[in-house]
Amino acid sequence: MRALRLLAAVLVLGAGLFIGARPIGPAPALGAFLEPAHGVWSLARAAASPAAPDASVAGLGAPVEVVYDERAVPHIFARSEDDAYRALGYVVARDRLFQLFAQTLASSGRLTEIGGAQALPLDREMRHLGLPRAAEALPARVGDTSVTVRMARAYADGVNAYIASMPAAELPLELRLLGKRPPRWEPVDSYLLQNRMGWTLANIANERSRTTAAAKVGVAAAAALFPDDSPIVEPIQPNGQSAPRFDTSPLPPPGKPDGASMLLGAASDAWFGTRQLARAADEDAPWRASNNWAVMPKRSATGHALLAGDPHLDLTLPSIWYEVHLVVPGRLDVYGVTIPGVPAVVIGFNRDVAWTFTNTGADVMDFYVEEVDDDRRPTRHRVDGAWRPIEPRVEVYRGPKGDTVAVDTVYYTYRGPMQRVRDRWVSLRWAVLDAGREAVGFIEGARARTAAEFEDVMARSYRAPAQNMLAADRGGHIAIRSTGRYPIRAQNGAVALDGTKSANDWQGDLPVAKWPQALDPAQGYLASANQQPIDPRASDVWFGGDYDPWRALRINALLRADSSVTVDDMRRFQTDPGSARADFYVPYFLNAALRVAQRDTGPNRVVLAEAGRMLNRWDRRYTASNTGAVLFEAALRQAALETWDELAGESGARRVTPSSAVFARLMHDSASTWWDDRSTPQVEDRDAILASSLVSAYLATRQRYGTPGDSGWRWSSVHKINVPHLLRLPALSALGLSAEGGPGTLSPIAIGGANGPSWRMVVELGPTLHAWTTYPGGQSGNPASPYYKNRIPEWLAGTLEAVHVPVRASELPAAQRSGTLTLRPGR
Amino acid sequence: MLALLATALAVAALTWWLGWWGVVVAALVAGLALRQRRGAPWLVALAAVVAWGALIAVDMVGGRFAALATSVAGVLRAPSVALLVVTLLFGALLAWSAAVVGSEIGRLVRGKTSAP
Repeated sequence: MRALRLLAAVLVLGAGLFIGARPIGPAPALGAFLEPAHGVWSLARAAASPAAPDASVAGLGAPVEVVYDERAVPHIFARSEDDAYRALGYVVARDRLFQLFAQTLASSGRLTEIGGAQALPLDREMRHLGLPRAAEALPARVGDTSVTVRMARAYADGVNAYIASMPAAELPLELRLLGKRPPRWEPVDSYLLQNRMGWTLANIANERSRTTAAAKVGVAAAAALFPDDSPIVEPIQPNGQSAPRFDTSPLPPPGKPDGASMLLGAASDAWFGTRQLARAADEDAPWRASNNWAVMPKRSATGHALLAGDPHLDLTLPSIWYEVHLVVPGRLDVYGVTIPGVPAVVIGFNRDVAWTFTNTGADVMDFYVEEVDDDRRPTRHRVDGAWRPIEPRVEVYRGPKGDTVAVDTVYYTYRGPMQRVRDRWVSLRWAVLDAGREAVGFIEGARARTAAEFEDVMARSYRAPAQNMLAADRGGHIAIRSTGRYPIRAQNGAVALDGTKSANDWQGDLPVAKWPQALDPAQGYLASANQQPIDPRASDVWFGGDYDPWRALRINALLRADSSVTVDDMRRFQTDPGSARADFYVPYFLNAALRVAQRDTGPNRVVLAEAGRMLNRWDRRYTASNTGAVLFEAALRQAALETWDELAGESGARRVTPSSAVFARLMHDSASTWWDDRSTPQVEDRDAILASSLVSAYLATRQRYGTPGDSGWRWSSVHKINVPHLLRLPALSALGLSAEGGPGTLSPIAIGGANGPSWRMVVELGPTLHAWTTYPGGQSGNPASPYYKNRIPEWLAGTLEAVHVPVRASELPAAQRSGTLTLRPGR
Repeated sequence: MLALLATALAVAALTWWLGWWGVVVAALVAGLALRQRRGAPWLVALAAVVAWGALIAVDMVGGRFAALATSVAGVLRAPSVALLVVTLLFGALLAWSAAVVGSEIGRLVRGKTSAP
């Protein structure tokens, strides 16, 4: 009996030790994971504010005091800027360590190390674009002693100090699940992240869509369907007009297919395959939309300049943003948001100036068809008759256990990475790969005293991705400039260029004076929302963008109508449910319903009349309780589907869809040949298509959501917002949320998607600074923390929280503190 | 009772110091020390449950344990109570088996040393 018991005990002990020490399949090793002193359960202890009130950080010149306020925002009080950014690295690592780890893997093309082979397409995209190589070369490009490199090193000191001293209980849940330890943070990780933002905000869609369309309907029609200039002009740089200008000219009819430029589309797919797939999945989704606006004292109820900003990005938990306040007496006092991994406050304010950005969407990439010496293993390429060297770089992709998942060789010409596309070697020139001093702009911009100074600092340092940088100052001035590097080209970038001629290379950069910009405009306000930055009648510069005019129309209408804007107006506008897009299109649908009902006696007449009544009752606002938006969206989608049938692929699937702004241009031409549905014998006009779309949408909506007007048609039931965790783990995400807003509104969160206002900020620049902020998440990356996703309810409701901006630590009373931390110089 | 508390204290201390291996070490030693006592391995297992339960209670002090348990349970797709039971069971099984092995080692060593 004893022997049997011993045998059983040995077996149990052996099994326990085995599953305790070794991961089995995707499950982590159970011993370290479950034990309550340092395992997963101890994360509950780490959810509180700093457990260790003191920590040492290598390189610090003097102690740094960090005070966390009741919103878990760290206020960092340092004696030098280097120390402030060291401390920033420390506090970010403390709250967002897994995010730092995951972002580094994503931006360096190493996601296979946690995701295995399924992550290979994303990793290949990063490496084939040359983003890791460009990051590694950054110190050589900008100078090893530059501010960029110095601050990245200081930041790395802070991150690594935290990692070295991290209590076992604070090891993030995700790293425990993956069975990983956080690696050392290197300065290059910051540069990688910067490049990743360039990839995120890259504009590639328009020219790719145009070449695809050209293969269906010819070059002239494709150029009109995917135009360089927006058919609706309400530019960022005010053009002196008090209303938007609509292009009402007819679209050229479909022409003879021309596939000559397909190489460009194929090249775009080769480098940006995952982006194209994501975009193709939802043509209607807002794509990197953002808003910002500012009013001068003459239009402000408070008599002070006001600024509002809400950059729209992928919504994730933890959020892309981390709120922080850095103070170096006499030198720096900046509050705002940083991207974990970036040693700077990106969007925010100091006591004199506030700033915020929207994406310009400029096309700053070109493709070159190269002539190489060896088609299989190229070593040289020919330019102006002379051979130039090609640099090969071997890319090894590792799996979770260090195994080799794949090995690639990426070739580089002096222009950039080169790929085989349709039996040709094509190289990519992209401004993001040459950038590197952006962080200098943020660091020096944070010290600006006027809006104009901020703009000039950024113009000196910032290159890519181009941003519409809006600033307002305490003196009552407002300014905006579309800041970035705009290459001067021999011809615009909408074609694949001949790489054998250096004349096709970029011929320098557009001077600052030619960038879209404005300072203290007569209209008393400035606004940008990813629209075309400058009226094409005022500039012949090709920016090659992919513009969305509807939000710009709405915010300009709101600001024009309000000559005494309050702080609360600024906040309210950010979630305004009104839609210039619906205001434009609904009358066309209603008129079509009336006209077609008069001439049609078929069975759909009753349905059309009912659908028309429903649409007419809708106030065109995407409020939570409205039941008209779902019908309108379905009708508009159906109308586009029926209208652009000329662009359908061979299998009937659409390959590209012109924007709703181009569709708006078509609305002015009721008899355009584009309206005709080629699958029917009769020739349809605009009203026929709009009416049939309305009927189809009504029937489909009724089938899907039940009786019209019921709760199933409520916008809050249809329009769901998801804020997924970085690893897409549902339990750590916030899913199925409801909020006001929809396509074309100022808060155009994608239907069912996870892209929207990632940060909202309103700043009043009076004698005393006031600011209000929120974002969809929370400061902590620990799911057990009360600060993990505590801000989501206020973000959904469109409310903001007043922020504390203490001059010194002692100004923050105990009641407003949630923790303190002193960082001391260490080895 | 004293043996139970002493063993639980040892398991908790060694877990805090060595991590989960601390249970094995503490249980081996306890099994060795209590080898003459009837049902000692079960007492050690119970002590491990008490010790790990106490450590979990410490984790609960900040009031964030429920949120954590819900998150972990969601990720692992198991009820949070089940995960807690698995945690305590894992510690108990390690302790019981190590205690049995410890007591047998003790008997073996004593048998050898007391042999003529």
